Amino acid sequence: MDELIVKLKKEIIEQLNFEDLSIDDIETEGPLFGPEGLGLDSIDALELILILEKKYGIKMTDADDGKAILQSVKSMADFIMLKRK
Amino acid sequence: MLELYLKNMSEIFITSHCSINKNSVVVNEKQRPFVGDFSSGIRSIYQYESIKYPKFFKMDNLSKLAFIAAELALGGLDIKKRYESDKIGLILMCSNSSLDTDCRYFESISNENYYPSPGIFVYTLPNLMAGEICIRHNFKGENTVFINDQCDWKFISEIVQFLMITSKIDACLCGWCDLFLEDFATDLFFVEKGDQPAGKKIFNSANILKILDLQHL
Repeated sequence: MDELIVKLKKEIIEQLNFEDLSIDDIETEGPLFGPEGLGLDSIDALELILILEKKYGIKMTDADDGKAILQSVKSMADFIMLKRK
Repeated sequence: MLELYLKNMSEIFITSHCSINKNSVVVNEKQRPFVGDFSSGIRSIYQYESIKYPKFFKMDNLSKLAFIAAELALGGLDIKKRYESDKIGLILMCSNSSLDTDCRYFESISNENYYPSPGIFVYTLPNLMAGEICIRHNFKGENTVFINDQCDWKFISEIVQFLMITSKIDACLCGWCDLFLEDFATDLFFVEKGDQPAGKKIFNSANILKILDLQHL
């Protein structure tokens, strides 16, 4: 799980071009969206969905689940682990 | 009517300006070299100025250029306190539009396992640079990006003057911002309506060209 979280953080930094951030700057359970968190926006949400699709082969079929799944790096990792079972 | 027009014209003055090209960065007559290629040079300015805005790194190169020039031109002016947000306009002109990002996006979807990036696609319009500046500085006044073969200061100054005379806006960031690959240049001016402070030039195309010519001496 820890390995997956580090990998996800690296992918977020790379895919979203957060050149000035390191993986330590992203809180595992901190919010990804909004001013309290990483400040991601709707375009970034699409990028995260593409990471799940292209890197992990997981499609998000229900848009209503998106908010909970993309809440944090931890929630994304939980979702990936769930789909892998 | 003409008298009123000319009177109003004389009440618009240049508060500050910033020019960036592959050779130099000029902010209100203070000049320093632009070092490196576009990516490293623009990042150096961001870091040197201690700007904290993570979204900068997600912008396309045209937006990065416009964003940094706006930061430098508006630095220390405290315009958020001095103006209602809907009274600040933004008028930009460019030649290459979003061609730089269009090409990058085309390249990203050129192989059969393509991975179309929403983050790149969203910048395939030139007015995104205006949007980034408006978001950062809370500009809600008139804003437009014109595309023209070359910078037309007469046109830009007339548009800005018209907007001010008709009281649409009281201040405006305006000018040229163009980029394609490593060919880039921006000249942005922040202009305001009101009494002319000492040492500030009247806003018209002749004075703009004088300021820009002085940079090249």
